[in-house]
Amino acid sequence: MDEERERRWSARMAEAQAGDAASYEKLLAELLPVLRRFVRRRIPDAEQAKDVVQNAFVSLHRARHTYRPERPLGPWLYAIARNAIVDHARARERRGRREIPLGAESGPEPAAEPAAPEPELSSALEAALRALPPGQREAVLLLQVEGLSVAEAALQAGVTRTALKVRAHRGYRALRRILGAGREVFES
Amino acid sequence: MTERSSEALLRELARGLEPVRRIPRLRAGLAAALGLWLVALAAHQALGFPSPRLDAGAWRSLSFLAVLAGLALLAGGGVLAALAAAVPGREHLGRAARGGALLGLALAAGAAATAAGGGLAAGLGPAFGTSAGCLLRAAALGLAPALAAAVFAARALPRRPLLTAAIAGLGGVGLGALAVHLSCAEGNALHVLLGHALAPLLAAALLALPLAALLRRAIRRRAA
Repeated sequence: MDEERERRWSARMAEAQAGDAASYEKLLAELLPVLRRFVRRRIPDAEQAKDVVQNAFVSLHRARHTYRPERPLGPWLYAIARNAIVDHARARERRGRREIPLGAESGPEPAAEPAAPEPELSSALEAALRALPPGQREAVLLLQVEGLSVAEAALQAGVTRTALKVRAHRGYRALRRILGAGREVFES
Repeated sequence: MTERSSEALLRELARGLEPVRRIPRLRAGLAAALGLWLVALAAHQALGFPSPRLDAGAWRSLSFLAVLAGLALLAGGGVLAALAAAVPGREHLGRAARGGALLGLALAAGAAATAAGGGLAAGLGPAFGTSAGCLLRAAALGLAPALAAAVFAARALPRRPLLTAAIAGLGGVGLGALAVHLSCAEGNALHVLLGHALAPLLAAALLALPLAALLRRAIRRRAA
């Protein structure tokens, strides 16, 4: 996380807690693309992602008293966004249990779907990424596709650096295995 | 919610923004819980209940020390986990503290059960009667810190009320059981197991529902 940006966010949130609406509006406007990216990585459907982003902002607004300016805003922000995603997934699950599935509309849980891979990824790699467990896939995408540092990726995934490294390591190993097996199949 | 744009929502949130009172630091919440525990302890002694044992014999007993260490871990971990669970971004701390609390419970109960040895199954029934006093004392001493942890969580952003309430109860009564274990002269292993080591678990089961009701009320009030 960019330190300068982090300091600016913290200062603006502290001002917002004191009732400064202009600072708050600037902060929210700056956070919007950040949260959009964060949510879209986990919820590929654009409309659902938009709902979750809006819910996350409402939660952030209600929870603004829980932020302590001496701590970085990033972990606080991503925790609220993660909670909004979890709430969305639970609500979908509850609705899914009540509703009768109708053909194509009864697809798998969108939040649990693999994140949309970047367009430049080859189809074999894309398929291999989809086969990874969500935590490993997220770690690989954050580090290798988005090019984040371990600290930044850990912050976004909401895990410790060690846990992120372990997930990424397992992800790479699984990718090698899947892609290697694919090659053998193709060669035979 | 999709009808309006996110930008419009953000402008709406910023409009008419009111100042808010920040939640205290976690360490302040922890200090409040420990302070209330000390007050309860002083009141308890003023009422004529026994003071901590300072005789060297108990302190040389490995099982006494293991139960003591387990209860200390359970109490500290439980209170801290309840506080951290309600603050966004402190999930790592909350998870670690919860793990510490459960490890403490396992250590205390395991040490007491090991000391009880073969008589465990046969002696549990009769020992329950003689342990009720210590269990109640632990619950009484732990009520104030458990309530302090729950009130802090209610002021923050509690998400899983029942779990947070149970952990607050476990930590609070863990503090109570720690004081009871330090002051109770009864060395019977089954008594230590039921009246000291498992007291937080039993009392937390009773405290969880009323504390969860408090947290749910706070959640409803905030959502309104």
